[in-house]
Amino acid sequence: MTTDRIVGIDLGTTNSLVAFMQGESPVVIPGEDGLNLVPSVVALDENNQPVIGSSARRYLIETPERAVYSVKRLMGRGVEDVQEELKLFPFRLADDLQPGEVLRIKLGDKTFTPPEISALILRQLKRNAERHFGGPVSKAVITVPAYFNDAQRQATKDAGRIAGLEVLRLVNEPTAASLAYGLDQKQNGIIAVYDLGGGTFDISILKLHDGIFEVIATNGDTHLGGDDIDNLLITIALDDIRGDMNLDLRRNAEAVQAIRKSVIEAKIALSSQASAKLDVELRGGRRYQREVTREQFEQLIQPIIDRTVGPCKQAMKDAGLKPEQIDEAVLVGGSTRIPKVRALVKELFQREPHSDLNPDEVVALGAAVQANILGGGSVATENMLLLDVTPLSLGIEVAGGVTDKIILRNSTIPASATQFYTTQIDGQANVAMCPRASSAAARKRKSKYSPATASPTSRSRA
Amino acid sequence: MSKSTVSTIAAARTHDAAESCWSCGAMRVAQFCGACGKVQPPAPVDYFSFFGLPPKLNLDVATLEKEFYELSRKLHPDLNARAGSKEQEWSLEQSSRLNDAYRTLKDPIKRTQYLLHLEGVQLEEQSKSATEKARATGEVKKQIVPPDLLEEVFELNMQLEELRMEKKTGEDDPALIAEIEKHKAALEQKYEALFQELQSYWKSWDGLIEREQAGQAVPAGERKQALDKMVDVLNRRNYIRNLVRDVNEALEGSS
Repeated sequence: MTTDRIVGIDLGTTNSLVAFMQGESPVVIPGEDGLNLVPSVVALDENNQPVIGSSARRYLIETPERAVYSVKRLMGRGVEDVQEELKLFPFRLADDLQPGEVLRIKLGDKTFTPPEISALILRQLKRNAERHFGGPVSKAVITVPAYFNDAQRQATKDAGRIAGLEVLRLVNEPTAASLAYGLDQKQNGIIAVYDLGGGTFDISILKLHDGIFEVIATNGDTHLGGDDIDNLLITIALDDIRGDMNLDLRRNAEAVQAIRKSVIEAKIALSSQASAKLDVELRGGRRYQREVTREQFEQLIQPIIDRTVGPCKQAMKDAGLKPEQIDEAVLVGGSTRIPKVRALVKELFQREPHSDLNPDEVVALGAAVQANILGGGSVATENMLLLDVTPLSLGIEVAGGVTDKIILRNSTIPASATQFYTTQIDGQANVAMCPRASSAAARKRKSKYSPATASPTSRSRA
Repeated sequence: MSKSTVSTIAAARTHDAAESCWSCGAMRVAQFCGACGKVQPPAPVDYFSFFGLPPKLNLDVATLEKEFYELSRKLHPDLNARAGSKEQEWSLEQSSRLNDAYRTLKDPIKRTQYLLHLEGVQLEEQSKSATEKARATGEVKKQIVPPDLLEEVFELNMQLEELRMEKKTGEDDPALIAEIEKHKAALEQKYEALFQELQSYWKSWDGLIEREQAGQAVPAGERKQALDKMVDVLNRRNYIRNLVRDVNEALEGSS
């Protein structure tokens, strides 16, 4: 294509990728190390220079106070929203944070906002793409969890801007995945995309019709993923160590990171083996070892993966569909490699789920397809069009703090709504407009506040 | 009021058809140019006219969907991402109008409510948000019990009160729950039946529109009667829906 190159980026909790449309098929652009996945890890080296990706990993263990991972969990959130995360993740917030202020995370003696850290990852992906093309890349489509709210989306856009990328669209991750699947299958029907990643879970139900990808319902949990499994195993290991060796390592960041590395390896091994060994070298030549069978592992993670059931059922209900009406179920996200997760999906949708495309790469590939559509399309994407929805109901706060929903969740976007309100008291000259996003999970969360004033022309009837 | 709405729709449509494309000058259809395909500035038309439909209530949803997909292929911002900024803005507005119109018209109840709204009828608000609002502000919500339900509602409310009392004292009364479940099933059946009734009023409304289209005068009284019947069904339907919701809330955790 002669026009600007538009790349597709999957900015993931655990790994990030950049892809583009090469001829008629999307491909992932590898980094200098030859690997497609760039771990979403950022560290500062001895000279305070940022290190990103695989090379930043060793800092997690050697100098954990100079490294950060899973920063996606903090995107668009305030200090009051992240108390739970702080208990489970070694995020070190700046000491002088005021309530309501944008979060800042300490790396060494410097501080960064979550979008700034994400921007460092994006910049690395941009560099990888530029190296591949031998020319500048300035436009991108970035994917976000379908269930991200407005503030989380805005933070992602900010990250793009800081990285020097014009973000043409934010595309929902499960929808992007469906584009990658739909590209070579060209079938019509209803598909369910089950996307369990490192930190987020989405379920989307789409209707495919001659190249139109119409999302009918979406649901999810922006704080549910492989991270939760890791944290659970870490907690168990720490308890073991405390009980058996009389050693409390909960505050020892280096030891926790070493345990984390070991549990992740065991988790991955357990997807293909009947048992795996946790093996962590501790200070003073001591060693923590434990055999974990797949059966034990599956029992442990059951409560976590069961949390995906509610959103799936709600999405089916919202779509007005029964499991037998779903034609295909598609698996996306690294955590869907776990056999127990696959079994759950099979049970939910009453069919064997698909995982023909690499679940780690499919979202980025789909983002590249959408980038191609926005760039004017090609033979492969000629008839393709994505019709997505708003995952959360949008409303206006009215008297008494009640939210009057004016755009219901799962409405195809763009959407608009007009609602007439009267002033509360006679002679009132200003109205504060307070838009809110609401869902069962996000009922208390306030959408981005945009104050507005209006001069009512007529007097209220009170 | 009602008469003028329809003539405004007609006027808007002729107005549209008479306009020419801002880009190539050819005659255009409502949202995009038939000759060069460019998106046009949005015109203030109602949802029926947006799809080129008369304001009739019996409509084929499969055809509407097909039309929705076709229009999406012309109007969606993703397919106009490389157009000029004005066109991109129009594409966004037209596309959101299209989505709003499709969402409203594909749903039989929303479609009926929308038509009533076009005809200047104010519907009694009995939605959940209206209930919450009423609770929060302390306003008394207007709630008229449909006459044919009076007896049943009276009995049901007594039983619900009994159930709530028993819940507090931790008693368990399967016979009472069975009674309430029976009422609930009857209500749900009525709810379904009301939809059939609504469809029969659609028929009279559509007949009336057809007569108008054929140039016959329709007396205002007849028009009002057709509308009133629909309002009545919708109100009764809302009433039952709220009642079933109350029953479900009361039953929660007891069965």
